[in-house]
Amino acid sequence: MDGSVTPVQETGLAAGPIVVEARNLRKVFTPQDGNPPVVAVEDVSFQIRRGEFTVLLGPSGCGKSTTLYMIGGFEKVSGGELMLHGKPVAGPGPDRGIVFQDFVLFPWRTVLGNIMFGLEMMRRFDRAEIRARAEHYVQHLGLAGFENAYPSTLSGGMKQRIAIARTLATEPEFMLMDEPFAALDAQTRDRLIADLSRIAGEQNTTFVFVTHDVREAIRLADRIIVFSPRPSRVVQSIQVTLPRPRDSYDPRLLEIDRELRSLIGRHAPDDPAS
Amino acid sequence: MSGAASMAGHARGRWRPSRNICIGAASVGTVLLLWQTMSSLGVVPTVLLPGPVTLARQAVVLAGQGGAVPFQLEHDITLTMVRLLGGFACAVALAVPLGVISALWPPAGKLLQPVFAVLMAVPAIAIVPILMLITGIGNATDVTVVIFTAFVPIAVYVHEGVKLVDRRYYWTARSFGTRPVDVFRHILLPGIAVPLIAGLRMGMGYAWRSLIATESLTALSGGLGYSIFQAAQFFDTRTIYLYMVVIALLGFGIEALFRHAERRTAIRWGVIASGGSQ
Repeated sequence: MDGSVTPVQETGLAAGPIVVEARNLRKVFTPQDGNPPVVAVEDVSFQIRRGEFTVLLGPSGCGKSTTLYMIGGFEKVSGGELMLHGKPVAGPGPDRGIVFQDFVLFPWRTVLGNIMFGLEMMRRFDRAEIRARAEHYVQHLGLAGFENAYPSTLSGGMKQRIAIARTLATEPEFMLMDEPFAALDAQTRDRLIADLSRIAGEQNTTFVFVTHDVREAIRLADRIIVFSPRPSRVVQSIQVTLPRPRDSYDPRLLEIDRELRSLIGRHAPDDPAS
Repeated sequence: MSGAASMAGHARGRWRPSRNICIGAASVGTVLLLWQTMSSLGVVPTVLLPGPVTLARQAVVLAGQGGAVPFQLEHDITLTMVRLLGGFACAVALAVPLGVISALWPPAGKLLQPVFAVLMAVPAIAIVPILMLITGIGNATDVTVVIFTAFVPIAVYVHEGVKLVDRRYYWTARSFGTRPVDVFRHILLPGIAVPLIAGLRMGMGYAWRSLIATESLTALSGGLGYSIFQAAQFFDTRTIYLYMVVIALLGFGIEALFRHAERRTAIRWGVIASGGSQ
């Protein structure tokens, strides 16, 4: 009914300073076996601002995960520029934590052992401090009672909570999340989205979250960077100013959903085979 | 229902031997009883099949007499185990670093993988003749055979294990600023624990069998394999059977150690099925 204020706005009004900037970013994979090179990221430009929950949204094969891995420093940049605080990204660092779709937990460590891992590796805290910090995130992510279980005995939703706690525990400046909820069932995903939205509000962290799920993107994001597939480019960067917590059935959310879907539809290749 | 039953069984398992151990003990007991009965009734001449009781007496004789009898059980066990463990330790010290390097550094991999493949195809006993010519018919040949046979499976399993470690474990570790020495200790080593234990188990099994066979050929060396063949020269069937039992028990004990290591790692972590851990 309140058609006067559109919750979707163009970029430029944002709050925090720019902390990540991609300019004509490009990534080409050259296979070892002599097959032709594969262009994963064609020509991508965007900005990420401090403290914003930024979602990289696009269909599969659009290069959004590869872009995330380049921000993480795990994959090298093939062309263009990727700046972190004004300097080119040079390898991974403790300022950027990562969460994967399939968790990548250490099966040889218990739940608490996984969450303590990063704190142990930092070699900054004594044992008691590490334990106390880890215990805090056990509570925070709803893992109490499972501290001494091994990850293999737990459900996918629990595993992803462990992975998120493991990364949050070291309080990195950036949380990089690669389709973290894509492998979970609908109810579990719904609860995790709600919990992550709450945690993101409390945490002084810049989230960079990759997904192909439009609804998920709108529920979480302060800003959505929309990718198009082949050639992979950024179509648009939009701000979402809906109040939190967000309800999937909020008509304003559904309105953005419709806009985004038509935007992505316009940029979808007519013939996927071509 | 079945969940409650299995939980009750698990709780009891803390202070009572598990059902499998009871069944195993019962089956070994039955074999011993039948064996003793056949021997006592004279179904088979006692010279060819002395009973368990006779063997127990023989064990006391051979163990207690110091140098008074031709076969010294304790001495033979010590000799064989020192060769086995010493050779095995050398094999591990060689195979683990080479397996890791060949997996992580492609030029080394290209160089070493064909070597592993060729060595894999050579039965240990086939190298004994040349070893005897080079190193003599003593300790050196026995230990070299242990090193040779244990090396190959350990190196191959470590190589494959390192290759199979998900690279995103390293990514995760590096995203916490993990130092290289910690990556080795906290990612690589636990990451290859399961194939490493499998390789150690296989290497130890090969080495154990080859050592007993080689000892029988290396006349200066003594040890269980040497003495069991010597006993055959004297038609000393009681000693032969006793040594067979000792060799079987030691082999079983070694296997049990590796099964224990597997329970502590792969099965506890849920990396391989334990037969109903879910």
